[in-house]
Amino acid sequence: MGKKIVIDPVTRIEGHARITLQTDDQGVVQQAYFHVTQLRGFETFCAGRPFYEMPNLMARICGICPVSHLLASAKACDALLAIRVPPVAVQLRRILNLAQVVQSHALSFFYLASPDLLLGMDADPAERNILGVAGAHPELARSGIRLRQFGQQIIELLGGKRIHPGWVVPGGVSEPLSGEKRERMLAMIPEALGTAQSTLVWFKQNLEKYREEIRTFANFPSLFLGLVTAEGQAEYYDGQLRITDAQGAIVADQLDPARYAEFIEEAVEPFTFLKFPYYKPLGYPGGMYRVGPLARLNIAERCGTPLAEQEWVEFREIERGAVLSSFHYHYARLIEILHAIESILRILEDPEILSPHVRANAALNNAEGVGVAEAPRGTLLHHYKVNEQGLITWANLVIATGHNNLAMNRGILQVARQYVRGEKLTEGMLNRVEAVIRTFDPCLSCSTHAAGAMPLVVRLVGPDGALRDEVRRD
Amino acid sequence: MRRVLIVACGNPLRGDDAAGWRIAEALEARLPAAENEVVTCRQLTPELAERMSRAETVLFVDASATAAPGSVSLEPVAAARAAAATLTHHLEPAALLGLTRLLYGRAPRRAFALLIGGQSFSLAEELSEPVRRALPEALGKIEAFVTQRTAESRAVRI
Repeated sequence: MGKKIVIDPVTRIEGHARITLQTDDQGVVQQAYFHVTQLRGFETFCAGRPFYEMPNLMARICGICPVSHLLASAKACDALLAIRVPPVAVQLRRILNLAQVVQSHALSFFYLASPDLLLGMDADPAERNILGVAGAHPELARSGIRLRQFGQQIIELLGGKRIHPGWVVPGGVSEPLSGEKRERMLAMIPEALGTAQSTLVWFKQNLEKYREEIRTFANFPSLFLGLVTAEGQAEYYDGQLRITDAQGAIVADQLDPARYAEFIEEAVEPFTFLKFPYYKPLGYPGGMYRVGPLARLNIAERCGTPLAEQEWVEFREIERGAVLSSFHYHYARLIEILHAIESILRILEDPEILSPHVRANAALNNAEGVGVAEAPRGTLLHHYKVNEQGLITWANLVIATGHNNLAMNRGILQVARQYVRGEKLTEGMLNRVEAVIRTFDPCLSCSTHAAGAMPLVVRLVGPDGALRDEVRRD
Repeated sequence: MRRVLIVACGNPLRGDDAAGWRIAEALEARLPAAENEVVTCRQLTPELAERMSRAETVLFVDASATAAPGSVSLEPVAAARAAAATLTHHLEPAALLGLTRLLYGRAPRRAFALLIGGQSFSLAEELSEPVRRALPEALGKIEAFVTQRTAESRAVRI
C-alpha cells in the first residue's frame, strides 16, 4: 500500500515550506512535492501606489534580499522615466548589489549549509547548527561572520542601514560616495579576499567527502539562465539574458529582459503558491531551467576578475558541459563571493566613483517598465504598468526562487528516491531531502518569517489518512 | 574594551516590538559613548558575537510577548551550550553568549536581559500606552545598571 511522507516545515531555509513524498507499495518514492504554503500577493498590494514609492516598498518585501528588490524596482522605475542613469550611479548601485551577494552567500554557506557539510548529514540535529559549527570549526565560523559583516558594512555605508536601505532611487542614487567611506570600504577588502580564498581552499580539499551528495543532489540536465555582458562575461547588474543547455551550448543569447514574457511563461500548480516559470519554446515542464550561482557560472564565458577567473576555470573543469549537480551551488557561491569582492575593489579604485553626479531627473515617460538584476539567488525581474498619473495599475515580480521551482521539485524527487526507503525514517535520510533544497538557498516568503521555533515533523500517512509513522525534532 | 554593550532587539514596524529601539535612541544621548555601546537589531544574529567578545557586560533589551503589558524586568542570562536544532540565522541571548565564547574564547562576564511586557505587536510605528508609560522606568533601570557596572569595573581596576 502506497504511503505519503510529509516534511513540515523544511528547516534552515528562508521562509516556510513543506515536502510531501508519495511512496508505492514497495516503499519506493514515486512523487515529490515542494509546497510553499504562504500566499505572497505583493503584486496586488502594489496596485494604486505611485511608481516612485515602489523601490522603498519593494525593499520591504524581503528581509533577506532587500537590496535586490530595491535595485530591480529602481531599474523598472528608470524604465518608466526612460532615463539614463549617470554612469557613477550605476557603479555605486553595482557595489551595493555585489555587497549583497557577499553577505547573502555567506549566510547561506556558513550559517545554513555548513552544519550539514561540516558535521555530517547524519549528525545529531541538536548539534547540527551554527553552534555546532562554532564548536567544531571555530575558524570557519568566524570566517562566515567576517564575510557577512563585510557585505553588511558596505551596504550600511552606502545605503545608510544594513536592512532596507533606501539610497537607490529612480534615476540613480540619492547621494554620492564620500572619500572617507570609500577608504573605509577599501580597507576591508584585503581581509575579505583572504577569507574568501582560504574558504575556497578548504571547500575544495573536502569536496571528495560529498561524492554521494554531488551525485544525487538535483544532478540532472536542465537549462541555465542568467545575465551576461555583450561579450558573454558574468554580469550581476545589467546586461542581457542568456540561456544555455546541459552541454553548455547557448540556446538563446542577448535576450532583452524587458521582453521576458516572450520567452518565459509562468505555470501554476494546485499544491503550492510558488509559480513554475519555464522557457516557453521547450514547453512545460520541458523548459525547466536553473538560475543563481550555479547557472551564472555555467552560462558565462569568463568571470572577469583575476582570482575568481582562476577558480571559475577550475570549476568548469568538473564536467565537460555544464556543471549539473546542484550540490555545486555551494561551490559556486564561494567563487561568486571572491568575484564580488574583487569587483568591488575594481570599482572603488576608479577615482570617478567619487563624482557628485549621481542622479538624473525626468517625468514619467513610459506606461510600462521592466527592471532586472542578478539577486544572490538568481535573476530577479520587476515589471510595472502605470496610468497617466503614475499610479501602478499592474505589477509582476518574477523571483529567483520561482525560476528554480521546477528544478527544486525534480531535485527532491531524485534525492528522495536515493535515500528514502521503506517505512523507517531516519534523520539523515530526511535531512538529505531538506539539504537538496538548501543547495538552491530558496527565499520563499520574502519578509514573512514567523517568529519562534520551527519544529520539523515528518509523517508517514497511509492512503486511508491514518498515521503510520512520525519523526519529530523540536 | 567596552564596559557595557547594550543590544536592543525588535522590529520598529511591529508596535511594542519597537520598545527596545525607542530605549536605544534615548540611551544614545544619555550614556557615555566612549565607555558603552548601543546597537539596534531586528534579530540576534551570529555577527553580534564578535562585538560581544569585546564587552565586559552585555545587556539585551527587548519586548516580551508573554510578560504583563508595561512590566519591566531585569534578568540574568546564562550562556547556552546548544541552540535550537532548527534555528536559521537568529539566536536567543543564551545561545549567542555560548557562540561568543566558542568563537572568540571569551564572552561578557555578565549578561542580563531587560524585558518590557508588550501589549500589541501588530503593524504600527507607535507604542501602546502601557509600554509608553513603562519607558522611563526601563531607562532608569538601565542607567542604574550601567552606573553600577561602571563602578564595579573601576573598583576592579584599582
